[in-house]
Amino acid sequence: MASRTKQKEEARARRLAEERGLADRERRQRRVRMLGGVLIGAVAVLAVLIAVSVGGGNGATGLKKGTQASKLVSHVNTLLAGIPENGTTLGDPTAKVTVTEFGDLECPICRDFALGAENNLISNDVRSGKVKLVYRSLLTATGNGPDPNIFVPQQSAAYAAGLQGKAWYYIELFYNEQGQEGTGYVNSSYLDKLAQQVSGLSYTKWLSDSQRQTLANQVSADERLAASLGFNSTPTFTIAGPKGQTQPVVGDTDYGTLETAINAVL
Amino acid sequence: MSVVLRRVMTGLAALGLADAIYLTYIHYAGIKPACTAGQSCLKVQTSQWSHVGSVPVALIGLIGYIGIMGVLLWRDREETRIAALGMTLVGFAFSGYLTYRELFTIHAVCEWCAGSAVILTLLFIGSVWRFLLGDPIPPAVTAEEPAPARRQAGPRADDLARPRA
Repeated sequence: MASRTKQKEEARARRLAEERGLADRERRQRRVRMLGGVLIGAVAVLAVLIAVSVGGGNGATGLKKGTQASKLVSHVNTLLAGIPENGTTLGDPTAKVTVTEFGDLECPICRDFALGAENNLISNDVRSGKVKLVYRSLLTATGNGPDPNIFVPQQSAAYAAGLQGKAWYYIELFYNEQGQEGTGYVNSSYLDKLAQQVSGLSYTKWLSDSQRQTLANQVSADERLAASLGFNSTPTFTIAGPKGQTQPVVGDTDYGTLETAINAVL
Repeated sequence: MSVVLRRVMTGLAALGLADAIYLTYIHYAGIKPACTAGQSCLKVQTSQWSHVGSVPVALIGLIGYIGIMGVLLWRDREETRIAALGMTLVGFAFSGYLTYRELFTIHAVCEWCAGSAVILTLLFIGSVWRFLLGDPIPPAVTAEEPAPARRQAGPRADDLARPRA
C-alpha cells in the first residue's frame, strides 16, 4: 500500500517536473522569440532613422527652412544689429585694431570659428569699437569639392551683399547654414536663396551686383594677397594695431588667444 | 528589486521627458537654447543632424520618452518589459549615433542632448536588467498549487509508515 502510494507520489512528481520543464521551455522559447522580434524591430527602426537622417531633409543642401531658418536669421540679426559695415569690413572704421580673416565660405573649420570665438569677438570687441573685422577670400575647402569654380561666385555673393552694408549678414548666415563639405551643395540657387534670407537686403540689387566683374577681381586679389603672405589654410587671421602686427593665427582659435593677440598690438 | 528598478527607471524617463519637452519647445518657439558651452547647443540644434527628414530629433525624443513612460507605468509583465527593452534599445543606439555625429562631424556637444543620451543609456541598462530578472513568480509554479490541497486530504507518507496503535 505504502509502496503504491509512494510510486504514485513519485509519478506525480515526475509528471509535475515534466510539466514544469515543458512550461519553462515554452516560456524561454517565447522570450527568445519576443526578444528576437524586438531586436529585429529595433534594428529596422534605427536603420530608417539613420538613413533618413543622413540622406533626407535639408542636410545635403545646408540651407535651412521654416523655424530653423528664422532662428538663425534672428541670431545673426541680434549679433550684428547696430554694428557699422562697409564692404567686407565690420565695425568702427576708426577702430585701433584690425582683425583680417582669410576664409572660404564652405570651410567647416571657418564655420566652427564663426559659431564659436567669432561670436564673442563680434559681441565684445567689434561692438565696443575696439576691433574692426575684415573678411577676405582664400580657396581651401571649395577647391576640394566637386565644383571648385563655384568659389568666385560664392565669395562674390557675400561681397555683393557688402555693397548694401550686409556682407557679414551673408557670411554669418552662410556659415550658420553650411552644408556637408564636398557634396557640391552650393550652386546659384543656393546663393540666391541665402540672399533672400538676409534681412533688409534688396534682392534685385544684390542679384545684379553679384554678377559684377569687380567683385570677382576682388576675390582674386584676396587670393593673391594670401599667397604673397604664405597663407594656405583657412581660417587664417592677421591682427594689426598701433603696436604692429602679430604672427598669423591659424585655425579654429579660441577667444582667449585672440584677446591676447589683440591686446598685444593695442 | 524589480519594483525599485522600475521606479528609478520611471524617474529617469520623467527627466528625459522634461529634457525633450524643453528642446521641442525651443525648437518650435525659435528660441536659442540655454547653453553653458557658448554656441555649442545652437550649432548642434541647427545642424543637419537635428532633423530626421522634416521631423526635429527633439520631437522624436519626446515621443520616445512618452512611449517609455507608458510601458513603465503599465502593468509589470513580460510584454511591457520587452517593449521597454525595445524602445530603450532604439533610443540608446540612436542617441549614441547622434553623439558620434556631435563629436566627429559637428565638433560641438549640446549638453541637453548629452544629458538625454546618458539617461537613455541608463534606461537601456535598466531595461536589460529587468528583462533578465524576468517574472517574480514564473507561471510554471502556479501549476503546482492544487497539489498541496490533495496532499492535505490524504494520509501523509510518514503517517503511513508509522505503525498504527
